[in-house]
Amino acid sequence: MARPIRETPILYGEDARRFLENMKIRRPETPEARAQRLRDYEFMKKAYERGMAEQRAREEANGGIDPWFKKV
Amino acid sequence: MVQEGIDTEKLSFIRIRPSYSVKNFNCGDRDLDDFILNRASAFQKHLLAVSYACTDSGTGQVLAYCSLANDRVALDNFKDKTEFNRFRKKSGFPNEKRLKSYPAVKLCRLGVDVSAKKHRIGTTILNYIKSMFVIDNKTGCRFLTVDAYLNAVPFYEKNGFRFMNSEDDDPHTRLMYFDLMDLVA
Repeated sequence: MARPIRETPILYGEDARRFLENMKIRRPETPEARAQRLRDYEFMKKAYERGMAEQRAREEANGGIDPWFKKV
Repeated sequence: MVQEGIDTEKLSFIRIRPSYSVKNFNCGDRDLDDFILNRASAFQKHLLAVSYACTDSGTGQVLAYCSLANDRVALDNFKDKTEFNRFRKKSGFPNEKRLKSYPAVKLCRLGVDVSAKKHRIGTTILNYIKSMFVIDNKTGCRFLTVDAYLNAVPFYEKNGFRFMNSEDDDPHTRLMYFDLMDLVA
């Protein structure tokens, strides 16, 4: 049985104070990291458009079911 | 880049419908594999999470899986939960507004198949999710949160995540977060 995901807790006291302090501190990306992130974003956006279009095609060809996945 | 070593034309990213579940997947963690193969669709059906799969367009092999849900980060002025509960009992009204809440999105699960590790797929998915919530965001979202498996903590730290609380001694996972404001410079 898979372990349940823990809920994000309410932060109290020192944890809350530290969290608020950290929120004020910016850790900007390096220009290289930013460029890489944006490249990844564009890449995945295209992969998503392609993936969903291909899935629709597979479903049309297989009576509404994508054979790549198990129907539950 | 994820493009290195993997044919970009053969990579797809799919939102998994609630009526589907992944057929084959092995990320090396039995617990995570069990969730992805057997339990993820129930979370989808009850609108608790949305699952995505990164697949090889040629074979249909699922190379990576992730699921997302809405979350929030809440802060309270009380020194601990005991003091907060004592106040609630004493005051008699349980929902007094004294929390500061920030909208967040929870990365419920993220796993990469053993056949696709070392190709930067996990980081690419994280970069996509981060960007989604600052570029194409339809609602406000300040943080990404994750309940990270201990062996995945270095991966999240490398990707800019910080620890949520100082006294987290869970034997299996650590609660971490990423501040999306770090991307808005």
